[in-house]
Amino acid sequence: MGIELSWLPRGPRTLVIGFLLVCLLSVGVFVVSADSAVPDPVPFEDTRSIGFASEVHEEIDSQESVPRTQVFYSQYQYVIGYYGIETAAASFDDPAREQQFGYPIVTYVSDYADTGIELTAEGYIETDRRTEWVFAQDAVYVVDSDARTPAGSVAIPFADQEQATEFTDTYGGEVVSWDAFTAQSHDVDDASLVRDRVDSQGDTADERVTDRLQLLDRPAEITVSPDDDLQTALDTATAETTVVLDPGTYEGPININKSVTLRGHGATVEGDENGSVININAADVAVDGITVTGVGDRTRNPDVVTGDDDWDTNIELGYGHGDAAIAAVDAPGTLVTNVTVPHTDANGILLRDSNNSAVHNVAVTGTEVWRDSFMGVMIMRSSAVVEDSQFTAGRDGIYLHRSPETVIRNNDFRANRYGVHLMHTSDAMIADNTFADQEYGGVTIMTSPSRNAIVGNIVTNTSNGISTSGSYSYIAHNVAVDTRVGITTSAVSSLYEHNVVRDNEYGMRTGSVLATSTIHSNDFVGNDQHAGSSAGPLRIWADGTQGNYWEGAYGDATDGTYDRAYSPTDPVDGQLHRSTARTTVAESPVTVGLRALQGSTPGLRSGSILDPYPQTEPQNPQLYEIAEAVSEHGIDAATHNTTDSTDE
Amino acid sequence: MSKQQSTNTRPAATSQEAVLRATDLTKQYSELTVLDSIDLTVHAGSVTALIGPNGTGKTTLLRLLLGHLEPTAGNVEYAGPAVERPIGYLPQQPAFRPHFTVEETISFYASLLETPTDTKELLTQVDLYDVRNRPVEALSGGMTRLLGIAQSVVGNPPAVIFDEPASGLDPTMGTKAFEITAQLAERGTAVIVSSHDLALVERYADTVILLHDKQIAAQGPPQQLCQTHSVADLWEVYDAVTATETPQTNTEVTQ
Amino acid sequence: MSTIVSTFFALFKRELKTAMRTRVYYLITVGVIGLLLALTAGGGGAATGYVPTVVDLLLPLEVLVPVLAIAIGYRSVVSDLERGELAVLKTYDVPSSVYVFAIYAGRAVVLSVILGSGLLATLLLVSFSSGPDTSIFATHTGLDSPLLFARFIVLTLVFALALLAIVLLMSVAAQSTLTAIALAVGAVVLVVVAGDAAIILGLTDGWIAEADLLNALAIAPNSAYRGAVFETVIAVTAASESGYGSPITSVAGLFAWTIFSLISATLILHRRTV
Repeated sequence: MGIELSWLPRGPRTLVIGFLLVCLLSVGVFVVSADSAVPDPVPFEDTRSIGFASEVHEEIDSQESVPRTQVFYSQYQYVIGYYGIETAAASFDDPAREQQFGYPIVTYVSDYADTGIELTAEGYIETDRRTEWVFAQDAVYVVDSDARTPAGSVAIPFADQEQATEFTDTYGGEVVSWDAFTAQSHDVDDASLVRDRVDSQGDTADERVTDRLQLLDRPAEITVSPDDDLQTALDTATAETTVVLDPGTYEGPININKSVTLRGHGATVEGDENGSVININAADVAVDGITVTGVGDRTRNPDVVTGDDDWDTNIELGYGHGDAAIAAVDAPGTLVTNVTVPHTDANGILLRDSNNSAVHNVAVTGTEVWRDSFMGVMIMRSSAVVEDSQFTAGRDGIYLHRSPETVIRNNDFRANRYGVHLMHTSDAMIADNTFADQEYGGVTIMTSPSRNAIVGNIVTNTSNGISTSGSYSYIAHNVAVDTRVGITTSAVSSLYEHNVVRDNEYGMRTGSVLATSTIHSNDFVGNDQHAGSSAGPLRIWADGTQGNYWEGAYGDATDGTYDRAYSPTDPVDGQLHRSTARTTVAESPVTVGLRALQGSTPGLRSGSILDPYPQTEPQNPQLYEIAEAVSEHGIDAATHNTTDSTDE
Repeated sequence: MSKQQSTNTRPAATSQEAVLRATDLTKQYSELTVLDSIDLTVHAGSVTALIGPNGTGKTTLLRLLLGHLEPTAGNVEYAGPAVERPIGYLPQQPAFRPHFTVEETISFYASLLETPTDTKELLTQVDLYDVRNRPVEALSGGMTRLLGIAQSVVGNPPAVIFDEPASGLDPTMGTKAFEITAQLAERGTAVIVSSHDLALVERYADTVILLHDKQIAAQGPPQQLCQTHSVADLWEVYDAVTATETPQTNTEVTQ
Repeated sequence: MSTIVSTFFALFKRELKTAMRTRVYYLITVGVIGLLLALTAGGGGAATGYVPTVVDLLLPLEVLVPVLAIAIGYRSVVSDLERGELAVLKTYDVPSSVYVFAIYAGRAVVLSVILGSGLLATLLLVSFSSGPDTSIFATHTGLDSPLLFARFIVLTLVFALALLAIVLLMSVAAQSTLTAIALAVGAVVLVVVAGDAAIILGLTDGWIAEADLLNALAIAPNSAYRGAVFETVIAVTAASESGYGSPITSVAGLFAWTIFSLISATLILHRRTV
């Protein structure tokens, strides 16, 4: 019969009191401020931090060398840590940041008062004591002093105005308040600067190559024949001359200790499979036209590794000391051109501590089983240009370690483990290369470097086409076809534009918890899933009102943009390009109604991607055609004229 | 007290007070006149029966007496004692909210009044005490009618109006309903009953009012009406009066 | 005076008892709880916080709440009318106003319990299931808090009770149960759809100026509800945005609908049974 009410108190008075309480409560929830109590600062290593490449971390002695900020945003569940107060201030003005994260609830800065702060000769910060966190508004800031970090000059917060003034007395600069500081405009690196750098970096590479090629103009002094002893010839040669080899086979290993050019079209230098074959130990040495064989099989030198240092140091030491066909160590300005290494069980070319080098038109082939050999070109702590070359099999086609500003362009990579592998290398450019049949991936960037440019490459038939990490990088005009994941957008504050991803399992995938990159004007065609994401806030993939082209998206079109937002991670939307019937589901009033609201509070949501301005037409017609050709006929159908094409 | 005789042997109504008084009561709906200049007094302690063919305005008259309808002309005046609930009402098809027991229903109506009501006694009077815990939707037609009667006398109103209390009931139940009207009258209540059951009316009514053609065609104790029209029973009176084409003026027989 | 109070409570209690003995209402409650939980879990908002859940539920509730109000309210007066009980009640000198308000109060409690249970269940779901996506990094809740969700619950109930009053008005005006439900549905649709349509039309034709828009939004119950939720719940976490709707005007508008409907119902009822 139902629940009896006999337990309810008789008196209407009780009911009225209850009713009034409910009313009071209802009004109360609106009157009480919804601002949560200000959260306490967290250890900086627990924040999701941006502002520095990891290799810079290495150079800093301690955390205290860099003033830091941590911000709690209203709409974002993670605490964001910034290296440098300028970085935080710059982000406050960024409207994209506002949309993603809401507004800052509280900002803490590291306070250098009472830390015994001093500057070294280079201007790096040293302290006796650790910094504490203070509210940003409670500190004053010393700007334009001598203080700097490897990334540039920095502002230093002091919670004590007197100490700040004392600091400026010794080291210069002026003291400003938080309001004044944030009102200034802050120049922070961003990915669009990298975009602007592409052309000039290419020009610089051109200049370097032209400059190095001049080494081939050296007068020919000695000509060697296969019966002669090559090493003796090299020892007796005068600097700044060319040693010419007649066609034939020459016994190695050889050492080049002077600035000479070794030319040998049709000549082969054969090593004894024990160590490197051609060792270059002087500056401005050129090796031209030689075929090198008989490379030793030591891929790394365990004796050099001390064992107590961290993982990175071991790699650095071990990797950079393997055998190679041509090993240039402490040999700046090296040129290797027209060289063939038909087989190596270790490296092809090794450049270590050899800045300003150029590798031009070489071919290196490693072993089929990648574990059995090493890198086509191993570049360690050397800025280099590697172009117009062919790298087949082996471990990695080109491996970079702490070699900033290296340019890798117009090369062809087949069947390696990774085509190009970057570690701790920033400001590099990887342009107009072709990658096919790699076992693991085409381009992989590890250890969070900054400001790399990956442009105009074509990758196909591999697992991870272009795998990015780090920050402020520029990934554009690439084509990824028939991979498992075409491009990963895990770099933060980076720019991904004008790429074409076609017929992959995943067109793009993002793994970063910080959704601060800009992804727009890309074309997504024929992928099993156009895009996927890991846990983290909702990602908005558009630049202002410019989104991407998604095969399967639909809606009413105005000026080339659909009015209906597209979500590649939505189970209905994400499969629209596979079946027209799904459009009916997508049009159900509930779906339509829900997605109208789904763009709000993105920072508090999880694991999905939304493009509010999907384009009606592919954004990159020429690349689109290339992608199509590669999909049907393989990598050889591609032509190498991608970066010049202005697919805007 | 029960009635054995088939003729009315109740003492004639003496000078009991008037409880309800209708004066020159007229009700008109647009073109249609339902009641025309009705004068009527209902006395305490008597049973006044309202009879007449269907459509003559019996229900309209009752609603006017209840005060649920505004007369076009004339007025209805309640002249009884000033109490919380002046007039009780038993509608033609009493219905009650389902999912409540008999006792809960009566208690609810009792709770609408300040003066406390002895629900036990009330239910006993209508022989419903034994089924007090039965849900109302499980009652038979007769029992529902009895419950309606019980409801109508909650608070002991000086006047009660029963709209066809015997209709649809078997003879025993119908008689019982009218028995109750007599008992109520005995206690001093002014009871107004409308009915088609002329036998019961003949037995229990103190005054019979015959409505015909917008007016009171006959009024008076049943015996006198029979005498006046020289007929044996009320049916004959009924036929005699309703047969006439043009109604005469009220043939009110005064005592 | 005290008679009126006790009469009110007698009628109010009867409404509550009736509701408790109506099995269908229990089914409806379960259904509403299930639906809201499904919407919350399915929208993904549950795992990340209160405000995203509000965002996910807002639109479905704009549809669900009117339906609930109709379901709970359409039989309100008309069933008593059909039974002839109104005439009987009149003999007990129950004023029309007390009757209408008591019926409304009873139904309002029922509606609030049903809707409130669903929303509280959702609150619990969110508070238990929402958490940071990874534990590697430090997290905080931002400005997301159950307090904001509590505001949402209050606004939803105020909206529901306004619609209930409108439905009750229709029920009083109807002569039969069938008419009652038809009128109720018609009125709700009119109010919900036409309200928005009128605003859009007004903006297009120009007789609603931009400055008046906030007030215009407060007039139609559903846009008043929507605007108030945006302003007091969702916009709190957004970067210093406001102007979605004036919450005070909106709530006042909803109260106005409620009072106006109840008074009209009283007047109609009064004229009816005389």
